[in-house]
Amino acid sequence: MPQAFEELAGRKIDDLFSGSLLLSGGHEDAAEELLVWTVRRAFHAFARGDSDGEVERWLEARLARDFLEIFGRLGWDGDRIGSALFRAMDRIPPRARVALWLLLLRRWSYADVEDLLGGERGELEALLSHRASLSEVVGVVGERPAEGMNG
Amino acid sequence: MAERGPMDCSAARRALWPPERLRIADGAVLQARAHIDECASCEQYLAQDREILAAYERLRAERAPRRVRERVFDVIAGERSEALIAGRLSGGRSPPVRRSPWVISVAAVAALLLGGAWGGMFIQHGTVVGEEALFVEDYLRRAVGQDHVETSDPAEVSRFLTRELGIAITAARLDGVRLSGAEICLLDGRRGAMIRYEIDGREISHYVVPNAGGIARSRVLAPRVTDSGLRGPTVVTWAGDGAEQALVGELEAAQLLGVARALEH
Repeated sequence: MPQAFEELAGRKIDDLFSGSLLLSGGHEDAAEELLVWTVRRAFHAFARGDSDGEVERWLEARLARDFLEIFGRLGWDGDRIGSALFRAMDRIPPRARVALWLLLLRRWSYADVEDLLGGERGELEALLSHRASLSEVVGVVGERPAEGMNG
Repeated sequence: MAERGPMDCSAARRALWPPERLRIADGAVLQARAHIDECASCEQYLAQDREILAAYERLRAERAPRRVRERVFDVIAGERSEALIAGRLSGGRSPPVRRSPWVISVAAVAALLLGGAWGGMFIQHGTVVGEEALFVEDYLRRAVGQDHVETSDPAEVSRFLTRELGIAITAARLDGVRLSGAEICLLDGRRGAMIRYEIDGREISHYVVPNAGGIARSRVLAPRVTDSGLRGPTVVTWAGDGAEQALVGELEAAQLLGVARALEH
């Protein structure tokens, strides 16, 4: 059934914001700007009929690409949400953050993540080696809900 | 990495990823399961995977803050309105042409201020529309007359802008931001103010183009993107108080956003 972009965005906004926070290493301002930028551009792509396959995954892919092309290259300071998982993500390279988010946390297939990253064969395995940083903090610290996420 | 028959750890994990998805138990899947059943390394890997996923699920259970939700839907509403307007006006435009980075920068600000959705496409592709428009723009710019004032006195800037534009536009006083002057700008045939500030020796420009009855729009960060990657200046646009506004400068995005927020308030 056809749906308005607003319906799609409304359904996905929480997922996209948590993904945005994760990719931004917990920097709230960066996450907000990435989300707004992605939604704004996705609105026009959706209107042109550019969304393909499962539209929710299409939005995740757009968020990941916008992060890599633009926001992953910017430096951010300011408020950060105090989560060990976010801090761990902040210390690893942008492409590894995208690989871990999509594959490990959004349960994308290896082939789909490789398609999105467009890197050389074998690169994904190297990026996934950063997973050790995440398992370290989750295993040692234990993870609790983010403080201030609704603040 | 353990070796278990013909399939190694990496291939086994790929074949069974994501592990919770139902799959047809073909030869590869059976081999992968056999490998994982016997491999301590894979068992540990999957246990860690469950822990990391559980940690992320707890974070995901939180909702996006109301401020963020409102801003996102405000942006969508603004884009939808502007797309409708652009749809009515876009018939006579010329095909896209390539220009120098300087021209792209000026045109991108104009497009962001006056075109909304169209401006987003400018930045994405690094192209501008309508060669002839720039000649007209330049001709009109010269016809404007006195078009700038160099001063750090906000009162003098305000007097200049009020006299030239016929409406009261006030230069801001912000900590760590030095006023250096103001100019009359001409964007797509509309006269507006361009107030110049300096932060740590770097110039930023605040564009205010009166647009009575225009649609209010939340802040949108638009780092300029070219085919070769990201380069300055960064642009933040918003609309409200009867004017389209933009802040342009070679600052870090976060710093420029901070100034935009202060100017909005």
